[in-house]
Amino acid sequence: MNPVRLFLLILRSSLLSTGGFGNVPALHTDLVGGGVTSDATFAESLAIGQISPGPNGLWVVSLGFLVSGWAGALAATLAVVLPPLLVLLVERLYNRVQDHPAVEGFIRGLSLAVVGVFLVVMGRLLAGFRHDSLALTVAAVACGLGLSKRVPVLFVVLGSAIVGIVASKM
Amino acid sequence: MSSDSQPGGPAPGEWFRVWLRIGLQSFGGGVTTISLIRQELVERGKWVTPDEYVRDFALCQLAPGVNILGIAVIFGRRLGGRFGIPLALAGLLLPSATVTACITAGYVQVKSTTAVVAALRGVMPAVAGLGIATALQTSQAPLRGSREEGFPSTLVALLLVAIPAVAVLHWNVPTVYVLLIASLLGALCVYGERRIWKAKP
Repeated sequence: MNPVRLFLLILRSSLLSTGGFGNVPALHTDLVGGGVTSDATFAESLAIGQISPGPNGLWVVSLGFLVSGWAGALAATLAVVLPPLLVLLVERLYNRVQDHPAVEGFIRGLSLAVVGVFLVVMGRLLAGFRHDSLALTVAAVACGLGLSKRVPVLFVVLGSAIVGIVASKM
Repeated sequence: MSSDSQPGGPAPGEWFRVWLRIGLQSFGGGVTTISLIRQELVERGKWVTPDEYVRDFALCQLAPGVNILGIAVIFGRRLGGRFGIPLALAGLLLPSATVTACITAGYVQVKSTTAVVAALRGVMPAVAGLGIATALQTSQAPLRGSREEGFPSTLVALLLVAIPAVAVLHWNVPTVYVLLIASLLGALCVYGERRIWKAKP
């Protein structure tokens, strides 16, 4: 994929979301829905993002690499750096708008909708495994461990890789 | 809770090294990075008061994009001098983005080996499971707010989760528009509830 187009897609999805994974649903629509890449590659970039250092939002660097090589990784890094600069504008407006009900409602509507579309994307990643009871068990255990926050995400991903390898040997 | 604590900020070289340390140590995502930033800026450097940190973190959640980068931008401008923002962002991102790209490049090399293919049967569902956990955690703060306001508000909140999901799944509405419309509906609901409903005698 053309790195400039990739840059624009990541920029757009990041401008209209907050948090490192907020852009997951929109990018899934644009890239997997648009036929640029597969669910499997999309999930791989999320997994690599989980095991590499730095903020969660850097998963797009991995996605960029898988879609357009080194130029894609660079495009993704630039696209993810720009939207947070708007915090300077937010800071300037903050005292005036912080108690405005429309602002609170906007943020709440956005975060709730992200949850809804995010769950759809995760469901699509799991759809290919719907007849695979081992994979579904791994998903459920990973979800439980994620919610408990007791085990670092890195270990959950590495542990699941070991489960996959051991299962293939049996 | 003053926000003008420029004097006494670190020298540019030290400022860059602080963010380099944060970037390289933060394995495992957001929570680790947030506590590292707090440790470096509030506890170790004492450039930021705990109150200031809480307020600025809230600000970053109102801004688009990665919240942690927003924190680097805010404190970069306030504490890091003229090049505070680029130094903080570069320290935080250069090493970690490079490592991420290199891991991906290495992964592409081994991608089709049998061991990796086998591992993916475990990793892919685990990523989806972790994603579901992230989504549920993200939903807690807004849902709690709605529950405190009573049943109608909770219903609206649940609809604001469900309708976007259906819109993307069955109606093929582009995700960006779904998010934008849901945000505007949220704004309208809270505004209407506070300013119009409650204003009635």
